[in-house]
Amino acid sequence: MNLKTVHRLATVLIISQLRATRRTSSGFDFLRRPSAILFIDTVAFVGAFIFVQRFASFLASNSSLLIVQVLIDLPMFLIFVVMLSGLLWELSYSFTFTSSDMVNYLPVSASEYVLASSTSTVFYYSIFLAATSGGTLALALQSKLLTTWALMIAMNLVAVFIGAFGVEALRAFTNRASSLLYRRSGKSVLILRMVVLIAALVFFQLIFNPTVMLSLLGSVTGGVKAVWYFPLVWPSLVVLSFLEDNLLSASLYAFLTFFFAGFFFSICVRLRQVYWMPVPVSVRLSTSAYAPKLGFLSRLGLNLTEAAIVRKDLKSLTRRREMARILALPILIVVSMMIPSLTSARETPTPYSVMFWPLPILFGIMLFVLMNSMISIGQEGYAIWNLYSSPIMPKEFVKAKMSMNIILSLPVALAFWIGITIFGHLSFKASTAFLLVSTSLIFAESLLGLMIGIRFPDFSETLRSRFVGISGMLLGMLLGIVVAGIIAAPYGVYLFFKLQWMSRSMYFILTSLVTLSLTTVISVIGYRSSLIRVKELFRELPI
Amino acid sequence: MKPVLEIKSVAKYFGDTRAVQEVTLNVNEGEIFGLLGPNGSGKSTLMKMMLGLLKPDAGSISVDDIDVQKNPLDVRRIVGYVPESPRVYDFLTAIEYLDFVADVHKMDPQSKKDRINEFLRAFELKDRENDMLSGYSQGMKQKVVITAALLHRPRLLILDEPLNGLDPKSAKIVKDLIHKLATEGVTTIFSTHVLEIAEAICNRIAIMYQGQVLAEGTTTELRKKAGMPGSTLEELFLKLTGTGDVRDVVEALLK
Repeated sequence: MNLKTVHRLATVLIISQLRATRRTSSGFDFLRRPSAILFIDTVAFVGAFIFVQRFASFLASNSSLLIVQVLIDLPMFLIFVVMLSGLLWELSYSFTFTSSDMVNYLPVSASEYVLASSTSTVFYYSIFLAATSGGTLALALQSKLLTTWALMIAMNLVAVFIGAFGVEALRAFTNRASSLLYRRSGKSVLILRMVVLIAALVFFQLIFNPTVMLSLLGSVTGGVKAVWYFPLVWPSLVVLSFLEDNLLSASLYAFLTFFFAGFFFSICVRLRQVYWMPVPVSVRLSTSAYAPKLGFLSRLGLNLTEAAIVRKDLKSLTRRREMARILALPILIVVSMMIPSLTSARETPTPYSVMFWPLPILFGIMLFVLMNSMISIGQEGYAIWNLYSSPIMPKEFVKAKMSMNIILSLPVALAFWIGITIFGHLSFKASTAFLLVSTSLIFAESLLGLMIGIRFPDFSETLRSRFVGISGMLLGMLLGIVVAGIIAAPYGVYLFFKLQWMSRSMYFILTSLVTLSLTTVISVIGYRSSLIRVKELFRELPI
Repeated sequence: MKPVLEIKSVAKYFGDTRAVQEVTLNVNEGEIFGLLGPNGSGKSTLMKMMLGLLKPDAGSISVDDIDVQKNPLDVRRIVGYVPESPRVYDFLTAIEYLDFVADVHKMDPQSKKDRINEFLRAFELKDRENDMLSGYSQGMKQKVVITAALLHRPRLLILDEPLNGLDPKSAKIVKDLIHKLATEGVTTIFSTHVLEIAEAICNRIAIMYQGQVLAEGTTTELRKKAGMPGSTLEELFLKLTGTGDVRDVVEALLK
């Protein structure tokens, strides 16, 4: 193994990852260099040290056991953090880039590649290492456990490499698995892949939810020794044995840790040698003969062009793995918002508790529609020339993009409405309000998002394409929340303020009419602005 | 004869770079017109302006008497375009992609089915028609893009290096097709770096260099204008573009 090659390759991989994800303006160009990571690490280390030191004396006097527990658990925790972060990265980047792996054509051995790639993963996620090292140093100084801390740092280093090797193994394995599966069957595998991706994304995000993380740590910390046979806990057992003054056991576990790291590395090398497929596999989606159909889209009033764009965009959303994060977003928002509420006991219903189920769901729908709409233009990528060179009228384009979002979101909203009405025991009025607000959100946010997407498209194709400019994204989110507030406001007024001179039923009808009127006004503004903007966009090929 | 394509004093600038300067060209119905020039000479920019994908900074272009600037959509209805490096929707199958293009051109179902099947058979893509385009080779994608450009029976074809990546049989099909279409009155603007191909299939040729048309005419006319009777198109091209003597470059590279 040539370590110089490993170093050069690791540097290139880090740069490629940095430049693919951080498209900052020229004022922040230093963030595109590997040295930026070192700088961020230093800030994280010092920041964590200062932050924890302020509470260290309090912790040492109140919960010295917790400090010891942190030092023991950290190596094991870091393995999972690196593995999950790497997995998330692996799952969310564009498929286009998996085949452009230049390194396949260079004289680089599998072991050199695995070591370089793992080093780049460790370096990229070194902020976890830096921050936890800084924080635990403050704790160790306070508890006079500096030697234990040094040992833990060494174990942390080995641990993050074990995590990175795990990512490498997953990468080779998924490459092989997907190529095998694709060859057998097309559409079902695509759907399965999307479901797995969404589940993985939701799982990863939830694992870092403080409520979930604390309960998970609590259940694991009780029994590290009980699972001594599990290699991923060996680095933690080194620290534990050392703290118990059992040097023989500590040495044994240290030997086992290094042995496991080496063994795991050799497995990754073998997996890459055997399973790596640099060429994208051929995915057959159907075996039936071509028979053009008009389909249900034409029955919805869409002409041929509009229906064609809608069909294409629906396929884009379900077949491109970088789109999984968009589909995962509403699930994530709903679940994240519900976790704290689920754990807290609710006794008597209040105006606030009435919103326990509907509010997170409405927020999820709003965010999904807005995000999906904002990215609908930029997601065309460099293939946008196909639309530019075709006789597509601006009106058709706007109608198609808007329809795609509505067609996708309305059934989801209706399903939630039925579910929430039945299982949430909503009153007739609450159920009607939910239906009206969710439908209004779909129309208004869809057109707002489209307006932003057309104004700030990002057609660049990188490892993690953004599809909409950062300023557009921020503006869109801000306006989206404002629009959602405007749409929901009449019902808020209805809920909290009473009108003496009007019956409650009439008041409700009036509220619903105001909501619908506001939605119409916002939607018309969004549609008109989108139409004007799209004419400007289509004036000249932007790429 | 009324020209199908009229380019009048067209110019395009990208900052300080003059991509196209004062270009005037007329291409007649049924003509196969070759655009030759070294890399960066402005051929692709000019072709994009013919379709309204780029806006000229000066001059005007009309296709079949339709002003490209004023009515780009009407122009796109009668033009078929193959870009230099075509990007397709990789997540679609070949059938889905072609079906999408045909629908955008509002073709009727039977006609689009027949045309798509004809082309897929001709380009030997029939057994791969339900495969996602992400798994296609460059040449296969090129075949799909050429098919897409021809599906709606355009009056004008703008082909920017269309033979890139094609196997010999498919390249022959494309060349024969262009000839056949020319006899039916379809005009073709054809850009290539392979001078033998240009000489073999083009009725007239324009040689572009640094955004300008250096010479235009049939190969015989070009030889006469350059005072190089009996020369090959390659010799003519290298002389006109001032890139003739490459011996020093080759020798330096071999050192």
